[in-house]
Amino acid sequence: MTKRNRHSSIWAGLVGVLLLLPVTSVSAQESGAEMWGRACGRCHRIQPPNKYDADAWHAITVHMALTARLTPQEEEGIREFLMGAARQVAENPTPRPERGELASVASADPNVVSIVISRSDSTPAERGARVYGAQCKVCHGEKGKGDGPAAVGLTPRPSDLTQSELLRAMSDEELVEFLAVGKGTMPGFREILTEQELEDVVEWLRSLIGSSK
Amino acid sequence: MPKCVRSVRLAFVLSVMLAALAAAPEAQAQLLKLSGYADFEWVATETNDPTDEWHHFFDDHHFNLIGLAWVTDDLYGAVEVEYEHAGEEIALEYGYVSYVGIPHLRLVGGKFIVPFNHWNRDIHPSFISKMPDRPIVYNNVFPSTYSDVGVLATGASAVGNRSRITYDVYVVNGLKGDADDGNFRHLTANDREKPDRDDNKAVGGRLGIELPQAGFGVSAYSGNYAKTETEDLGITFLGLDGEVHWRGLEVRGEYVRASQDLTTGDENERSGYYVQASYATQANFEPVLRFSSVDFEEASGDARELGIGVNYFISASGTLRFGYYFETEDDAEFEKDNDKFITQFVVVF
Repeated sequence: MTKRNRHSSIWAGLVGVLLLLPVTSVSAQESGAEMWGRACGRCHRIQPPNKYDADAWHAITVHMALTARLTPQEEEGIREFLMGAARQVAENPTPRPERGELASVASADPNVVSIVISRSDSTPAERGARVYGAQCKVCHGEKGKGDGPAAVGLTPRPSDLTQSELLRAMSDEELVEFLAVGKGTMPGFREILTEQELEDVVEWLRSLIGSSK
Repeated sequence: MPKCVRSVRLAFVLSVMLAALAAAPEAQAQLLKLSGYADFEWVATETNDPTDEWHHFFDDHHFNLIGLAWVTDDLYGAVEVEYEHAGEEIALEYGYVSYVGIPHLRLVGGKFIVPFNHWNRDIHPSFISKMPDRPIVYNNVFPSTYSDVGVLATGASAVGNRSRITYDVYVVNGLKGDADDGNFRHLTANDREKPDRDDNKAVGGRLGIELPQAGFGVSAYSGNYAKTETEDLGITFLGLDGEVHWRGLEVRGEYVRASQDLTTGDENERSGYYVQASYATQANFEPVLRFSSVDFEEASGDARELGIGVNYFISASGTLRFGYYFETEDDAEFEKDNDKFITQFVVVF
């Protein structure tokens, strides 16, 4: 192939690709936490939300949206999650967890939550399961085993909720406060979830770990 | 070069500049963030010298600083300054301004890492790479890490739920070297005008699709690497990359084919690939296995490398990494063993 032909072929191929790109997007159904686990963990180990402050996460997500070729929806979802989580950490500073202590990461995408829990005909545990699915499952896994899709990229690992003596020992009120404030790499949810939503998640957690308080 | 092609290129460059100028009146530095990564190594290499079979040394391989300046909602700058080998090599890995005000399209002007396959731009940094050294295909077939000055259009569009199509299209000054030099590590990016410059720019791009647990991409690069009194000599790279993720298991592979014009009128062809599998366990250990091969059209120079490694993740920021490489190179008359062992400690901050 001659040089001129090679150049022409590559130009033609690239222009063709651009023409074939869809001009509209299908809106993602994922929460920001799920996008964070899926898109960031694809190339590198996941950095926990408490690693940087909210301003830094803003700059980093703009940069990574370009580098990782994120869609606008992914960029916005991940940024909202990380900035929201970082703000919670700043407002409720907690000491870093000791090795082996409960340490996990949850999410903060209020838009998704408001969608998933809007069905009023559900039981508290069913509503809590939907909130858990959108916000907690990415790290703690569907059954709370600490094996969500983001878990393999996190150090320390998210805890296995089903084996957590800490959760079993807490009352419902203490557990709501724990979720609201957060601990270690897990951000709190006070500004993200309503009191009712936190209580619903607690209901779901009780059913996961098989205890009641 | 045809006039119409020149006009299209000029229009593209001007549009990038106008976009930046449009945002400039409101520009005021709102954020400047500094981060980066560093790694320190102990390296032992086989020498093929019977009297002194192994050399070993410490290497302060990288101390790279990354700065992000967010100017307006739509305009930001990024820079990575790399200090390699305890400062022996200091270079600008990338430094660019980007306009991000158009959905699905981000425009970059400046020096950027060329998006060829995944390795060159996305996964070569030591805090991302699973092994302490690059696959041999990215030493001998493609000169990674290759960054260059020019303009880049990049973006993504969602396809269904949790999947996306990605694209990169760029025009850069291009790789330059001596005519007929078959060592691609000698090729350097033509950062600015030189007395012996040529006006031919290199063009390229990558098209990828990313599914929830897999991804695939095709890449191309074409440009002139040298010129003689009578002709321009071109070089072309074609690439394929793929990856599969399932829980802690990751399998990825990349293929590169290079074609270089020679003054004899022939073409120097070579190709290479790597396949890598890793499994992140629940205990913060990650074993890695990688096979890489390069195939030269000429008789000698073919090489194969099997790498075995393990990562231990001390924290979210620190990784201790070990890698042993069994490398065999076919010389003109005999096989050479170029085994090496690397212990690496990486920190990202």
